[in-house]
Parts: sequence; structure tokens; C-alpha cells
Amino acid sequence: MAGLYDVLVKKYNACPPDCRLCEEACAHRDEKVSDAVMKTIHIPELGFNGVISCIQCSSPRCLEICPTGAIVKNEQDGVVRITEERCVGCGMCTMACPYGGIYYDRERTKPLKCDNCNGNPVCVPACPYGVLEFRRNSRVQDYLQAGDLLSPGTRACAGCPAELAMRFALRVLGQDTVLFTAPGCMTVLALGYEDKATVATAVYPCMFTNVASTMTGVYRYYKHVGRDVQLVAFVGDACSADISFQVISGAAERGEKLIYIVYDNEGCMNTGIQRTSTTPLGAWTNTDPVGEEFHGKSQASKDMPMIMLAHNIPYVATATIAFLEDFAQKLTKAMRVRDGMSYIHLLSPCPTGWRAAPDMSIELSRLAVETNYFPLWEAENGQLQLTVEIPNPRPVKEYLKTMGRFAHLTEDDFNKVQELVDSKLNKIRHLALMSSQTATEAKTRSARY
Amino acid sequence: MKHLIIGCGTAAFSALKEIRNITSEGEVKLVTMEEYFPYSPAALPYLISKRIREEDLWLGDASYFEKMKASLVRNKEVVSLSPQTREVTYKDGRQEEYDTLLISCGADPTWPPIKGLDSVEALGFHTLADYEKLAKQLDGKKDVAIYGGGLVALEMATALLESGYQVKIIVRSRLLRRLFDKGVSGLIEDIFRQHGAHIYKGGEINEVKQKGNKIEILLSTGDSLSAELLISNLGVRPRIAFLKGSGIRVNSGVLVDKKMRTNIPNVYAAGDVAEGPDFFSGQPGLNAISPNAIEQGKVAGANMAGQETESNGWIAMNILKFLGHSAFAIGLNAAEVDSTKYQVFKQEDNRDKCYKELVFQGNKLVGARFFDVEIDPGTIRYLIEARVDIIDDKALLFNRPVEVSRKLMLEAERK
Repeated sequence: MAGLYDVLVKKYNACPPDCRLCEEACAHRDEKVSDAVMKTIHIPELGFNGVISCIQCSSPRCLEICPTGAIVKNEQDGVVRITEERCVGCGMCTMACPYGGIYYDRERTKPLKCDNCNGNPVCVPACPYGVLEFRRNSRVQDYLQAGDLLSPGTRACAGCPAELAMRFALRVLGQDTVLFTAPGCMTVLALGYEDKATVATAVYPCMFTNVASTMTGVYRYYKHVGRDVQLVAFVGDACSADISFQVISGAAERGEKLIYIVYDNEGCMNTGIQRTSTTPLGAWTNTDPVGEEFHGKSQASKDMPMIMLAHNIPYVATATIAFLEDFAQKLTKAMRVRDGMSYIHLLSPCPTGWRAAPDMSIELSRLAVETNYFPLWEAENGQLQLTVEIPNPRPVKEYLKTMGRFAHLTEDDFNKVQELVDSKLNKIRHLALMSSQTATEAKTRSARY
Repeated sequence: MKHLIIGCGTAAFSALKEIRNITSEGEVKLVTMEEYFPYSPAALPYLISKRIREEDLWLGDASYFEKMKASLVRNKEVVSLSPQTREVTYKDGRQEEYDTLLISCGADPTWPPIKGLDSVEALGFHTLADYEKLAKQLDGKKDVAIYGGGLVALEMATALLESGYQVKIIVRSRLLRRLFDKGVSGLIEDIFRQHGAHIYKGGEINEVKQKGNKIEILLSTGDSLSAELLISNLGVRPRIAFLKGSGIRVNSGVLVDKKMRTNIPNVYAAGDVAEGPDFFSGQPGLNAISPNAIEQGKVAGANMAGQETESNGWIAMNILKFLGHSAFAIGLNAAEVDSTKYQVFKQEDNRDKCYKELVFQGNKLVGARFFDVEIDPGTIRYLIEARVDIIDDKALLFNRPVEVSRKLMLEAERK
């Protein structure tokens, strides 16, 4: 299905004089054909040095004019190709292309054109001057072409990003999934409406206390009948960090093959905004009042993803829908884990519980990352790395000030939170450094033997 | 909204695609008098040389029309048009209404008056039916005479030579007279001779006689020759006979304006049948080539679908790949323009057995011709169509046409 295609980008008039490295690499791309389709243009009189090749038009004129329909544009990769068996060598395509993209090979009496080397253009690595770049399409577009497995509309609050996250995650996970839910906001979406189902996969609603253990049992059942299934939990922080913490810890330690996604709205939101262990320091909730005696939550939040990292499971990651490509890649990695649990911790701003404007959820998600309040990292087999680097982080105050739940905070409070944010990031960076050192050592060791 | 299209060739197809680019609503119906699915006549010579099989010809089959939400009715010939009632009448007497009508029924091969023509095995060559007749006739025969020296005649000659036939070309003046001068014609004639063809120049066919299994051909020069088969490739003439009495304005073809509109409201024409404005002067003329059919079909289709569009005007252009050689011509010919108003760059002699020529009007390229010179024909076409200003680099473009044309195109695209 057509989406955004990968594109071979060429800089204009940016080549060194008389350089033909790309053309030479191209001429060697195939044993059968020795004509290059990436052509250099060197005009010393005009000081012009550039390259030219087919730009894979969306409405190719060569395709239009071909009298036998031998030229086709592939829907999957967008590449325009010549079907040799149907080509009569009339050369009309060379008369139709305005962009110098198709050439007549006199020896073979057939036209030739660039086909991006089917996704791995040899010219790009051959150029040391940065003239050529093969820009790969964000795969997010591909997922968005996949079928929507959640029925249209939403029964969640206006602006709820958890619904968006669940919808997107289901597209990536695919229909061959069993979805596990626990009481909470998203269960409301997953459990159907009157007598109609709303999710196009199997859905298993669990209790607060037994999501991971239920999944364990279900996995064993499927294995017993010879099926390797993809089991995915989409549950909130109240369930995972608190009520079901013991159970998730047990499943992790046993190495159960589950995908566990937590949408962290930093509170028990479905039941009317009460605190959980992931509610941040200073936040107002109905159980962390603000007034003369109390000043919002007096404890800092529990670092749930870090705790899961300490369980040594094959894959742990943090994610948020403001970085959709990153989320998609993490889901994909989680789906590939064969020998244990994968855990994705999703920051999910709650306009209702956080007292934020309902149209701010994506912006809030992004701001959380850009202030380093919620760093985006992943750990494959314990090797941690940041997946999104923020070179100039904004002060966390900017993030806190967008939400009513922090309206009572003072400058002092902001500083305290900033300290927490900085020290958390520091720890992550140290872990990342250790991971890369371990990796280097492992490489060196294996090189020695 | 019902769009009725007469014909299913290149122009008709182009119109269908454009209508469906714009809207999925309305009915689009193509009616052809032929029995075949849509194909391009340009591919036919290659059936003879077996570079392609008949099955590979079809540009669209039943599933294509379904996908395009259009219908194709074959074996239906339109015999008259009634603009007052907005109807066409078919050969079987039935009538069909239209909201918009596109006349894109193409052209017929021309046959000059020749004494004795009815009594011999002589064939025109423009449709698939013509090809099938020819293929049957070729079976068991060894030599073929081709009447004509234009592009299609030479494509046929090439196809037959490649298939091992003895070829005799009869041309009234010289080969590719309209595209090249005497010198280049001479080079091309040499090439055909080297490949075994015989060329009879300077005379028309006065009379033909069947003598056993051979045709005796008598030329106006006094020469005579014989061949087992005679094929005429003298060009095509628009099929407009059926429009007599409809009130539609015709000249040699159906006259159309920049929007491919005829003088009758909601009736359009495009392709080989149409006589539309040209690119340089805006004067109406015929231009029976594929690129023209595509462009005119697109413009007609867009206007039929309610999106007002104008054509830039047609440009004569042709490309011929034959026997390992290559010829490309586009736009105005140096031999035909007023040399005081145009600037011409041309090669003075043909010692390298190749030729190139550029014609400028002011700073704009208006014509080019190349024989056995490496070139991107499409890039040269771009420079003409986009009216790119070429001020200082004319001589350089002539000396190094490939690189400089590409550079000028890239530069123009950035603006």
C-alpha cells in the first residue's frame, strides 16, 4: 500500500570536479549489466559538477508513454521498473522522461534506469563527499496503513493519549495477539460496547491482582496445544506498580514470554484520581490534597522501568506517543523477544487527572521527554541506552507549569523536582556508559580468541 | 454524469486515467470498433520482429476497467453523431446518449490512388487486425516491399530485416525526409543497404500487377521491381467520415481549441483524429504521435471532468531505434525556418557518420535533431517545453549536448 517511499537524494552541483565514484560503483552493481544509471555531469567551463538519476516519479511519464505497458511503479517501494520481457526497445521512454532518468543501452537495445538497487543503493556508500543520501521512510507510515484493530471513536476522556497509544500499539502488534487488561481506563475501551466487541483480537480481562499470572497460565495452555502466541498486557500503573506488582515481578523472574505494556497516567484515574506509587512528587490527587496541612504528594515516584531492568528480562523500554517512531521500534523489539518478558513503560498524560487542557496530551508527552522528566531509553539484555538524546533540555518547570495538579508548587519545589530529574538522568547515563563499556569489553574479549 | 469516449487507444486511455484522477463519480464508457482490448499501434511493428507477443500488448484488461470504474465495449462502431440530441448512433442502429463525448477514434492508413491496387496482396498497417492479416501473409514469403520512407515504414523495414526477410523500400523522395536533410538521409539509407535492404528513391508507384505469386510494381521513374508482398506505410489520416452532417468543424482532422473542445458543446477530440493548436504558433495541425495523444487525452479528460485545463500545444517529435542506430528529432527543423529569425547550430559535414542540429529562437530552444549522437531526448524536450532561457551556453549545449542539457534542466527545476 502506498505510503511514503524511501528516497535517494542527490545534492545539486556538489560534487568534486571529475569525480566518478558513484558512477563506477553503479556500473558494478550487477554482473549482467555494466552501464551505470547514476550519471555524473562535469562541465568545467561552467564550474558545474553534479549527478543525475531517476527520481521515481509519482506519475512517471515513461510509464505513460510505454506502448506495451512494460514500465510499472511498484506500490510497496515506489520504485519504477522496466519489465524486460514486455519491452520492445522503442526508446519512447527516453523521449518522455524530462529528468534524465532513463537511458538507452545500445548494446542490449533496451532502456536502463535506477531502481534504488532494490533498497540498498551502492552509490551512496561509494560517495565520500556526502552528495548522496538514501533517506528511509519513517516506518510509522507503514504501521498507519495497517488495519485499525480498535473500533472507531472513544469512550475515554477527551484528549486521552492512552487510547491513541492502544490503537497504535494494536496496529503494530497485529491481529495475532491476545490482549490482557485489568480494571482501569483502557479496559473500558477493550471490553466492548453493549453486545459488540471493540477490539479485533481476543481480549482477556483480568483482575487487578493477577494479570501476569493469568498470562502465564494462558501461555502454557497455548503451548500445550502447539501454538506460539503473542500475549500482550495493556494495563495501568495502579495495577502494575502497585496492586499487581508482586505478580509482575514473579512472571519476570520466571522468564515468562509476555509483552507487558504499562500506560502510566501517574495515578488511579479511572476510579477518580487517587495516588499510586508512580504519582510524582508534589502532584495533587484526591488522596494527596493541597491546602494548609498538605502540599500534594510528599514522596517521589517509584522508578518502575528501572525496577524491571533489575529483573534482567530481555527487553525493557520507556516510550511515549509523542515519539511514535521510537514507540513503534520498541514494540517491534518487544515482539521479537522469544526467551522471556518484555516491558514497555508508556508515559500517558491524563488531562482529567493532571488538570491539563485536553488538547495538550501530545505536547505534554513531548515536553516530558524534552525536559528529561521522562527519558526515553531501552535495555536489550540489560544493555541500556538512551534512544532519544535531548541536547538542550528545557527546565522541568516548563513541563510542571502546564498542569493544574502542580499549580501550588513554589520555586523551591521546582528546584527539588529538577534535582530529582537531573539525578535520575545521571543514573541512566551512567548505566548507559557501563553498558557500552561492557559491550566493548565483550567485543575485545571475543576478538582475542 | 456520463462520459462517452470513442476509441480505446492512447488518447482515450489517457483521458480515462485523467478523469479518474479527478473524480470517482460519473460513468466512463469507452467504445471501440475493434474487437481487441486496448493496445498501442506503436507496439505493432515489434510483433513482427517477435520482440513481443500478442498477449503482452494489452494496456488494460477487464479487471483494469473494473478497477477504474469504467467500461469498455468492443465491436461497436460509431457511424454518426447528433449533437442536438446528444447522441451517437452505432452501426447496429442503436443509439447512446452522452453528457460529454470524446472523439479519439484515431486514424486510418493512407493509400494513394494506384492502378491495379485491388487486384494485388497489398496491406496497410495500423491496427492489430492489419498485423494479423500481415502475419498470415508473411508466412512462407521471402521478400516484402514497403511503400513509404517515414518513421513507421522504417520501423517495419527494421522488424522485417531482423526477422530475415528481404526488404525493398520504395520512397517518393528520400528516407526520413521530414526529419533530416539529404546528408543524414543518405547515412540512413546506407545503413539499410548494409543490412541487405534495397531502396528505390524518387518515384511514386504508378501501377501494380499480380504476376503469379509476385506483385510487379511500376514506378513513375520508369523502374520496376517485384515482391511477394506490398505494405503501405505512408502515414495516417484522421477517421472523420462518420462525422459528416453533424455540424462539427473539421479540416483534415477534428478542429479543437486549447482545451480540446470542438465547436460542439461538451464534445472533445484528442489524439490522431484531432487537429489542435501547436506549441510554437498556436495554429491547428495534425500530430499523430503517442506523446501528443497522451497530452491531448489528459487535457480533454480533465475538461470533461470539470477541471479546466489548457494544452500547451503539440510539438512534433520522433525517436527511432533501428539496426543499432538511433535518430531523434523534435520541434522546428532548421531547413524549414527563416534563418534571419532563428539561430541554427548544425554540423557541417557527416564525416563522423552522425549529425546534430539545434535551432534557437532568441534564447529559447525550439528544435533539435540528432542522429547517432548520445543524448537524453527527454531532457532536450524539457528545454523546449519549459521554454528554458539559454543565454550564454548555446554553443556549449551544441558541443556537449548531454551534460549541458542535463545541467540546464536541473538548474531550471530549482527555480
